[in-house]
Amino acid sequence: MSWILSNSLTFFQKFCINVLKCGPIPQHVAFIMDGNRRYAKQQQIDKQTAHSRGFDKLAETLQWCLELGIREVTMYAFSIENFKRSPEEVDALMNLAREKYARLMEEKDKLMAEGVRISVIGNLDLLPQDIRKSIAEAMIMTRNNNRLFLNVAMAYTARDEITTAIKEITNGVNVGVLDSEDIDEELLNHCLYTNRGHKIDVIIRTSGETRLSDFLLWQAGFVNIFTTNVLWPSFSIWQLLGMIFKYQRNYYELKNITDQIKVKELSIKKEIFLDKLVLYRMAILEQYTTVCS
Amino acid sequence: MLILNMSLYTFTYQATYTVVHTLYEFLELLYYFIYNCYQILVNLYDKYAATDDQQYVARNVKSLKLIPTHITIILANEKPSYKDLSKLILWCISSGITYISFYDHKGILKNSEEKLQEAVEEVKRDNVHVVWLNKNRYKNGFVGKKIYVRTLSLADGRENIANVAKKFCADNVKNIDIETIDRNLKEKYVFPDPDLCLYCGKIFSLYGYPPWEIRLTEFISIETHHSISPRKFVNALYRYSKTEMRQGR
Repeated sequence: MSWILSNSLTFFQKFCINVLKCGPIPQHVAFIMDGNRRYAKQQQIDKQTAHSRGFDKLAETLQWCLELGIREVTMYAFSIENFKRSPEEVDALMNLAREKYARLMEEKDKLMAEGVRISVIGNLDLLPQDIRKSIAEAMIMTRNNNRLFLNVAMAYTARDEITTAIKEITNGVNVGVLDSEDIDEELLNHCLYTNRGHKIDVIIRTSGETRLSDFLLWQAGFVNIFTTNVLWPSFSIWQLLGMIFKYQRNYYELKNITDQIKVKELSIKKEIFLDKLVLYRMAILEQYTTVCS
Repeated sequence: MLILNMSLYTFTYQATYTVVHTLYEFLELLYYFIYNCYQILVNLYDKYAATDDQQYVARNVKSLKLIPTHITIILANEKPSYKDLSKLILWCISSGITYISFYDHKGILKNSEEKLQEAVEEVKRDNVHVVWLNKNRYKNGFVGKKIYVRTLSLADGRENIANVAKKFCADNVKNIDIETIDRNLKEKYVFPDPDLCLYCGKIFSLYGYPPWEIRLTEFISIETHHSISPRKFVNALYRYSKTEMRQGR
């Protein structure tokens, strides 16, 4: 199954989407796609098929988000902790990723037409070389698209993300681009993997767990979190629409709180550092593409 | 004609939007009315049935397999009720929880911690020892039940991580990794990461809770901490003991 699906919504679903669009719509929704393995047990299919269905659901959800006018979607696909699973399962997951990222390049035209910018966030150094290469190629190819931002978290944990940001900042201080007084939460905020996107409004976790499991801890500060007992491959559009509805009900209360928190403007020095950081990260991606496999 | 058609559509959408939200608002009010009545009845029943809050908690948590070490409470938008918070501290002692922290993003509770201390002093028994971390009043050699209490505000979160980064620069620390950051963040306080978080309010949100610590924290709603019943507290602990931690595996 491909990344970008053509429209498959019924008339009633479209009607409901249009009704919801009369109110506030979150700009950025993050998903913790949990429950593939429990789904496999429940349906008595093997894990690999379940993971593959999980990916199909990702593509479907992406299409719903596009219809709803959500600008950015982040999906928690694979955490650093997941490397602890059995080697067979990790291999199977990597094969799935390999297949899907190769598919991205085949679907180049569709991606560009829909204006999807793909970025894979996480510690890419932990991934196999060939996967890293296709990830880098896809990220460079779609970097100027801006209709929908899709972030896939692979080899990601929030603590690792914060650590990387701190390392980059202390590096900046060591080479003299920054002073140590420049370090504050705003600067750190701009050094995370999600720095180029929108502020996250909603986090959705499937399969009934009420933990964040090291996902977007920093960014989750004032986010509206929703959990559902449904396993990820059975997640349906009605659950998503229900959550958006509840988000609309909570919208003003949460907005009141975030409005009270002052956001400092970035100084020119910090801006220069952040521009350099973007260039540095792009250079790393380009390095990944040139490695011969 | 096309324009007329378009506006007819938008009108239908907007009308449906308003109707659905209003209807939901009404049903929600009705639900909370019935729910509150039910809560009052349950509380009345418990008042006559159980002799003592702390005994009730101690009796009911005995059978639980998993008890959190550190429990944290997010007050969300609620005004702190010192009497109810001190009750929570006592219940934690009865259930064998060693650490409790309260998070109020506005900082009201943190700035008025002595009020909470007074409230606890009034109700606590002599054989328990409450350690207030923000006051640094350590008393060693105490035998008996002990609980550590800490109040947090928005400034203990992201800002603290930025300060650690600053410290790394000042000390010229090389080899920064997750462990060094973790160690530096916890240097000041002896608290482990919270295992269970009870949040108030209808909205599940973190209200800027310190991000680093909540990696594996289980979140459970208690709706409000105002006149919280021991039954609700025990129910939350019961739910926590049923959770399965796979840690990525």
